[in-house]
Amino acid sequence: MPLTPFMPDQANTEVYKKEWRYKEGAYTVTRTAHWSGPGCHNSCALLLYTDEDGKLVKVEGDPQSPYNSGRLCMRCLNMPEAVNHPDRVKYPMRRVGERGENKWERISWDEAYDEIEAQVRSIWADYGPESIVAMEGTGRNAIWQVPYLCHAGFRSPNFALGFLSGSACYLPRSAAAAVQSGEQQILDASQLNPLRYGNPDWELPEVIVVWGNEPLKSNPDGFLGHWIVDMMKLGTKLIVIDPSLTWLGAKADYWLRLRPGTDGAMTLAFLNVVIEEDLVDHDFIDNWTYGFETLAERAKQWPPERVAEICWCDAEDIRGAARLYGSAKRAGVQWGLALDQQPDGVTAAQGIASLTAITGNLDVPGGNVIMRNGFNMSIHYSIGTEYVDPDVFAKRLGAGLSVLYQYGSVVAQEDSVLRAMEMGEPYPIRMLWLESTNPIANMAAEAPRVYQAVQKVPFIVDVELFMTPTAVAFADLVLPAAMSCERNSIRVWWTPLRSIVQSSQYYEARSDERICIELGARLNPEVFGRFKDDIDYLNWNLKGDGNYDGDWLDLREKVFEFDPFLYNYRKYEKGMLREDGQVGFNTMSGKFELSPMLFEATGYESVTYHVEPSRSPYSTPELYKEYPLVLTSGQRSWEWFHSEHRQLKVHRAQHQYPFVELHSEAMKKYGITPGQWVWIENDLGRCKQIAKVNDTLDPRVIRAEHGWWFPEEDPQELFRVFDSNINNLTPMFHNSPTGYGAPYKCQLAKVYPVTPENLEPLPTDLVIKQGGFRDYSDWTKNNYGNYGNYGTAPADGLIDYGMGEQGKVPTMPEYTPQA
Amino acid sequence: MTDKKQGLLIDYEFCTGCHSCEVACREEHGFGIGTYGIKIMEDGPRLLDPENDSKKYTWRYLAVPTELCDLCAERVSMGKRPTCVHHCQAAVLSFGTIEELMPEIMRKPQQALFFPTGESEDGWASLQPLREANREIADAMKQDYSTAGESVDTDWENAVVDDKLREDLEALIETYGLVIKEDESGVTWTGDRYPDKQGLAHIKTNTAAIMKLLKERG
Repeated sequence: MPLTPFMPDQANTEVYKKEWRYKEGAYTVTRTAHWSGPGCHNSCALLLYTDEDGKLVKVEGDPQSPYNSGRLCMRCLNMPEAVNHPDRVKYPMRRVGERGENKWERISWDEAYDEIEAQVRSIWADYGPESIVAMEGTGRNAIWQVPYLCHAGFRSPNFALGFLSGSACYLPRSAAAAVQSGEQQILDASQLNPLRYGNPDWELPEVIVVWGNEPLKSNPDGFLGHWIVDMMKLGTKLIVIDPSLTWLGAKADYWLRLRPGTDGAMTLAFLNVVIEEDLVDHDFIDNWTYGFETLAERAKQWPPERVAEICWCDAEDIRGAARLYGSAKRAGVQWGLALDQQPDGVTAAQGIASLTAITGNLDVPGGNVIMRNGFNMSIHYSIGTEYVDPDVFAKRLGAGLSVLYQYGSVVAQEDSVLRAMEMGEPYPIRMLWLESTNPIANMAAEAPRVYQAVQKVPFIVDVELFMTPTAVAFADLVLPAAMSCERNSIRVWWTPLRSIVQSSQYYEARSDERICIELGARLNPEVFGRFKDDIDYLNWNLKGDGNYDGDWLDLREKVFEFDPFLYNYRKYEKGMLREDGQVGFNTMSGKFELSPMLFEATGYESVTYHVEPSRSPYSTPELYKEYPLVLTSGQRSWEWFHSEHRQLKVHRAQHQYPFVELHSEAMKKYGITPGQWVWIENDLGRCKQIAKVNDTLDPRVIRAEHGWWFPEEDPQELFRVFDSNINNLTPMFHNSPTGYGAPYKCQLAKVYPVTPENLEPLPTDLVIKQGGFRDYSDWTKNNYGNYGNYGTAPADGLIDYGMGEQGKVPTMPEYTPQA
Repeated sequence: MTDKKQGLLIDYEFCTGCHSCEVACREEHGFGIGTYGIKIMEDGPRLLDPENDSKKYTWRYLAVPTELCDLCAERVSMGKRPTCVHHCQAAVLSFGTIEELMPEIMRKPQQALFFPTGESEDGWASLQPLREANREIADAMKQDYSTAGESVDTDWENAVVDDKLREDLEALIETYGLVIKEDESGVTWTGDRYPDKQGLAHIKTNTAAIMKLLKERG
């Protein structure tokens, strides 16, 4: 048996055929990938087993794939339960009765498209396309269909992510990267090359820093978490930065248990140590970076001793960890969502990218490699923006708020969208298109407030797999979406390029691809009329925008194909990054900008700084007296992806209820018994979850779950979506100085037992029947945080989030927000 | 059906407790929820050695095949691997014969070898050779404590038995079920319950009297 994990060339070829579709006994087996609904971002390679009726009966991993080598998580293994679930949306439906009554009549697809077309045209005439907002959730497979429909179909600039405040998922890191280097980067676990760990060009990272994610469960952003386990077996050491001990943390040489929301400070400590102890790559710094002096000057102010106090960590551990990373010949960082979901996050992400650069770990084997979508596929949010009228594009909600929203991405800022819905400013929102998103269960901070605001939008369409709380609460039309095995599609992000092949059909469900081009053809026949069907659309992406040498049928034959461009390391040295073919990076200076020129020019803090979360023991000490626990949330489970999988028996049997984790000392202090339902509460609202002991937490920190709704409950009560919703406690409009990022993972709260006396009103009843935890309709009384006042923060400063009495007001920069 | 014993090797240093083996097994065999062909056990998180190290944690998972595991005989006969081995995300499960797996288990610590379909013995049948082998020893042991007395000469008819002795010996006769035994070696007593040393000594001292009492009983 090999030391390395099962390699694809060891698959028994008598059993596992090369063909993309073959027979095995009574079954048809299709080799394809999964992306997604339901499921994660990764697109693991699958074998779909369908019977003679075309029903999906079994899913296995494709052992011939170098990506996952036949391995699968329980979500894909149990996919047939989801695919064949009787509660899936079967037909297009129009609401009858009021929103929330869950009364529907079946209509045809043409009727649905007729109605949507009529609405869109009338909005164009009376309001302007900008009054249409299209939202998706975490992105996954709908990452390009929804934006394309929004931009080229609706002609609207307002594509956004499901009321995710500050676009706080990947985009903050991505926007920072765009401004620093013009490129994205990912940990190199040999996944760029089909030879994998056997690739002689690849080197094993000596050290991996797992920062702000639990990749084994989350598999974020096109990275299969268990690759880290593969590398651990080969000898890689770990540094884990996480408020709680995880399995990876238990195996790590250093586990830094940082206070949620202080990653900026931690990044500064790492920068301080590697610079002070000269663990940097001078060759790279001198030849390929701009702004090192500025970075070094800032880092000097933040030794581990200072950071330890802020992060609630041990200074020697921080120093040791930074030293271990800096001294390694090859080291990589696997970063994650926690960085996006705090005000410190964008600047920390920038600092971490700088850390990889100055230690000579950027775009080297076993470090953090520069990544693009394989074959240059247009699988990104900016697809189709050329079809939005430039005057209309300038009206994108939130664009003018900050330099990063202006230049870093094309997404409408979600807080700005909410504000427009509440106030009608700068213009009213007349239509909301939801596809692959369940905001009130999932991404919407201040969920009860969002629930009230969205009611004001006159026309709402929800493209969904199941009837969710969002669909019942808001939708006027519900359209049945196809699951992954019912779609023809393609997958990049990052490599290899994979075919997704339809193998079954569920009633009248249609793929996101088909919905996009069919509805688009009604609205913009010039653009969408080019595609006679979904395969045509895919071919356009493959051959038109992308540089793939073949069409979808070729790809289907091959099942997957790696992009040789991404076999190259040190692409900046080879002139492979810049549009003009010169060596260097796609930036103003041509260098990797440790201190981005764009920030310098616009008065932003240009290198990493620390800023306290909007609610913290230090920024709001009075509030901390009443809410004495630091609340982090959103940690992952094996069983589901965000708010999905709750209706599946196999998954729910393993994880019946939401759990909030506390240290036993905290339990004792607040009179809580393990296993008891408890209220988690702060000034914004409360929810209930079951208390569970986690003695690896700091006793002052608690962790709650997210994404909970209860499909077994009454749809007319929105499946009790607000009862255990941790986003009853998180604010909208508390963004980082860049406008990106939001403090989902760093709030304050108190915890106390649920009793018969304090049980009512339950949050769902309060929200549906009584408007919520407070009256949100008087917009003048609503908290808009630091909206429009992002600017920047002094190196040791605080931001005024409109909390009234706390915090310093930072000096405003030259840059004037335009919104 | 294989003619060599096959097993599962599990590297529990790297099992992450992801449940893929449990779910894959359930799907493959059509088990209901709550039924397992392989089940994950957990140890931790806890401090490994708190008296000596306040920072080192241990957190281990071990997947254990249950009585329902048949090593995916059907899949294996097709040329596939057991489904848990195929789908394990941490790639810590291996499958093979004992010859194939032994070098692997020697390669690193913290691994376990399971033979879920190993043949179970008929325990009682397997004990028989030992029992056979012990026949002579058992017989020899009984000789020392044999309840058969040495052949008694005819003098026992004249043994003197006073009332006290009679009472004692009657009790002894009852306790040990003594009866007269007559065969080609002569006339003696025998019983069906082994006496202790003291009891045996007592019987042997009073053999003549016992014989007389036994004769009286008829």
